[in-house]
Amino acid sequence: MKGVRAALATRLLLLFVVIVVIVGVVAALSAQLSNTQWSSSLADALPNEVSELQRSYLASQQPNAQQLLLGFESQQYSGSEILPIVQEQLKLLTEAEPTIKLAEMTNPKAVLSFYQNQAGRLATPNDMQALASGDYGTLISEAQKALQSPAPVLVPLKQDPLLLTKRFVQQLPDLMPGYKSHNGLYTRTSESIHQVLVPLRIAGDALSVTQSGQSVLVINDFIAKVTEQLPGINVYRSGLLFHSDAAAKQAKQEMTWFGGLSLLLVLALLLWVFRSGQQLFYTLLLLSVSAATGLLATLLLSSRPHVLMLVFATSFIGLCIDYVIHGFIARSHGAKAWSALKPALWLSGLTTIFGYILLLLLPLPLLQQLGIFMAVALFTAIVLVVVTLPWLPQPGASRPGWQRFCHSMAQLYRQMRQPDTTAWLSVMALATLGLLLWSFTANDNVRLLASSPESLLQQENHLRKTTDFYFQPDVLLVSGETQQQALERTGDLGDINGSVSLYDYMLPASEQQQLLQQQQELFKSPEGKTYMQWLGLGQLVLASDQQEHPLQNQFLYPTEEGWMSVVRLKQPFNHGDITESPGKLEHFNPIEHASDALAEYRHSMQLWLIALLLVSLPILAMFLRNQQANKRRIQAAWQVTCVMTLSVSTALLLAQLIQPLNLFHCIGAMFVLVLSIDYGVFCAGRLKREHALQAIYLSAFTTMVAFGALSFSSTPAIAAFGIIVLIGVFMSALFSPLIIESPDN
Amino acid sequence: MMRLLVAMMLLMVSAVIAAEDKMTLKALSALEKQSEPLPLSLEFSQKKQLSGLPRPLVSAGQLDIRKDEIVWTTEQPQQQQLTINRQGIFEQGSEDSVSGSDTIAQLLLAILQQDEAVLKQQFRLSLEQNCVVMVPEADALASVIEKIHSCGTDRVELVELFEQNGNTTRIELSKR
Repeated sequence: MKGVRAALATRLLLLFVVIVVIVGVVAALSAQLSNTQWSSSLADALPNEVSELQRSYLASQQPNAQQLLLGFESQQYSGSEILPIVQEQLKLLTEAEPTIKLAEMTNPKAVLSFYQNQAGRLATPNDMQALASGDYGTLISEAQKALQSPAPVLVPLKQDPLLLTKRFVQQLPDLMPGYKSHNGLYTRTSESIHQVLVPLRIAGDALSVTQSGQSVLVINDFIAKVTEQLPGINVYRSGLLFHSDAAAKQAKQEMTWFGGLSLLLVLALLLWVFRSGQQLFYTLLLLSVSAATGLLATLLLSSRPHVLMLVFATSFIGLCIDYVIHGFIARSHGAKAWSALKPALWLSGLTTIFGYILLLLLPLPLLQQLGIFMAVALFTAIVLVVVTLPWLPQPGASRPGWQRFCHSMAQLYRQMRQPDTTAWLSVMALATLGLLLWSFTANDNVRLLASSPESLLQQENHLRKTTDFYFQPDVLLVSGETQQQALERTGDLGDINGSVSLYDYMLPASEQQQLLQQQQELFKSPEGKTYMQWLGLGQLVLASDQQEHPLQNQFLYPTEEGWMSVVRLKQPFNHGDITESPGKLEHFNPIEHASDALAEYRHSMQLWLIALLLVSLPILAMFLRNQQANKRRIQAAWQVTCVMTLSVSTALLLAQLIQPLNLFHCIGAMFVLVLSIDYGVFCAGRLKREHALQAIYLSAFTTMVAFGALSFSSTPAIAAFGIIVLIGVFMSALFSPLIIESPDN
Repeated sequence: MMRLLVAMMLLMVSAVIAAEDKMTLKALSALEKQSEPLPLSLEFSQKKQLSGLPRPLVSAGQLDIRKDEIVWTTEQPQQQQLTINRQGIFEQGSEDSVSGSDTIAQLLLAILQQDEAVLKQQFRLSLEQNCVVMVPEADALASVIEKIHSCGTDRVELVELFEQNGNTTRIELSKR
């Protein structure tokens, strides 16, 4: 009686400690979360790869404000018929949805006003050269000719008697070539096709699915009202918002169907096997507490955790469910089965944890954070399973039908096992691995990871082809301690074919000053004096001080150490055009950068997968069946390693027949590998094979249904993860029962 | 009462729209009267009154208006020949147009050729005595030009260009 009381007291004390720890973790996590700054860009995930300039550029691109372009085209209706209808409906749209505004790409009035105020301070390179070389006659003659032409003069003559700034304005690059502006809308008629363009800006949070969906809804309503009044008009949409909304709708549909059906199937199976909801509730609790502990450790040890880390950590859910299923099945078979499970649970868990700790050796902060999260969360999960599961009332035996099925499968595998099974497993594992290495095809292009509806892509391409509005993703980044220095350095680049920068629209202060001095000299010369007399002017009136150009916010951005001038390109970048100088002049392509980042992560993940395979073998050889002879221990460890290799290699080999391998395949492979360790260790351990198979099949089936359903996703990145998990887990569940049973089970 | 007010408002709005339409029709009719068969050779005298200058800049010369182009020959004070076509304003002997001159060239072409279709598309038209008043519709043009007058009864005798910055260009045309 005393012993029972002491055990109860210990249990109560432990329960109290566990509850205190859980409450402590939750409190600390909530405090820590409020002080945490999450990173979300790939640039933040690769700090060593992104320079200060590139980081500033990415930060300047306003991810929360999106630009879109709508195009209305018709041969039937003229521009003057389309324009008023679009203007009228647009007015209603912007009134109804204040987050949507016209994106003023160029404001002709503001641009002209800038040049009128700065008249005399800006000149073309040719005119500056003529001034510097004292070729006054040519400049004066040019000005006189311009004054007797019927064309408007544009700039105040008192400030710019030589009309230098008028000529500067005439050679400005046109951001909307061939288009006429109508209060923010643009019209053009080309080859009898009348086009009206509507550039819009969404001021709300583009990352919010609800807000994006609402914006797309009202824009589509606007388009519908225009097409109602102009039947047969063609409409084209361009902008990330439409693609992200289409992707969100697709994902929602997939989640509803795949997610809903697979969840129903998993729940039905678990309830059918266990005949109780206890396991589901316990799993949910375990998942929450372990994940919270893992997250707390990650937040404490990382200054800026990355949101992608949570995506990478999905395998934790599968592992946690696996541990719980094993625990409940072993407990349902009595104390002996539970005792036999515990060493296998620790061995499989600690090997996996050790694998995740290896991630800390990689120089990638995102994977280091993943390592911390997974190691701490898994350790917590195992401790909680081992400590708290015996507190629960002994679960009832699983459904007899399920037990019979697993018993039959165990018998079948016993019949299949031959003395040369190890050799066959080795040959299959090595052959698959060899075949994978031989045929390995990877493509990390970030564009391949997302998918958009074909019609949307066609509309986007049509606007890209016909409008000439778009720049290449490539940019040149020029730094400077001041705005003027950045502008001067941009000017030093010279004329790069198809490039547009702020230097094309204004000159740095130093060049403006020089230009004013040279003009003063010209007007002191006899030719200059005669010209001024002809005009009836006394002396040159200096323009006001330098002003901010209306297009400045598209080309000049602040950095931590000064300013950055961005040179945008209309044509693909040619590396021969510039000599890069890190920190001063850099070429940057965000798409290439994101693809490089994905490649870097894929390489690291591949290394990690190989390292975990290599490390698992000696660990398993040391601890698996540790009461048996060395030969048997090594054989068991080798068989587990073969199953791991076979599962991962086959999954990757088959997946690359569908699409080239990428990071998301590797994330799936990570999941498969750690689950394979589990299945292998539980088969090779002292557990009764029938009991082990009950848990393995249940775990494999639920994982395949829940995660494998993702392989039908139309988003290539998600499908890549799903297909690897589907094939890998199936292979692991198929081959792990071939592992020779422990004689002492 | 409310219905009556609404009905009156509607009547007033429709009356304004009808008046505008009527004005445009009158302006178009005046433009039609001013137009002459092409090709056409004229003499011109141009006075540019630029803000800040004490006196206008005067130039004179000849104008040859053809279907696709106008040759603008200035004889005083400096010899200069400009060819104006849809592609822009070209100086004599140059294959490239003056950069950015295509819009203004198309406009001059339309005014001097009395191209009603283009003028109706680009401007809001009205009539003041014997002058057709053209106010630009598009932003870019409206930011430079306030209005243009094309005056004359049975031919264009005077074109006046009023810039937004206060500059005025007055081109008097006479038969050669």
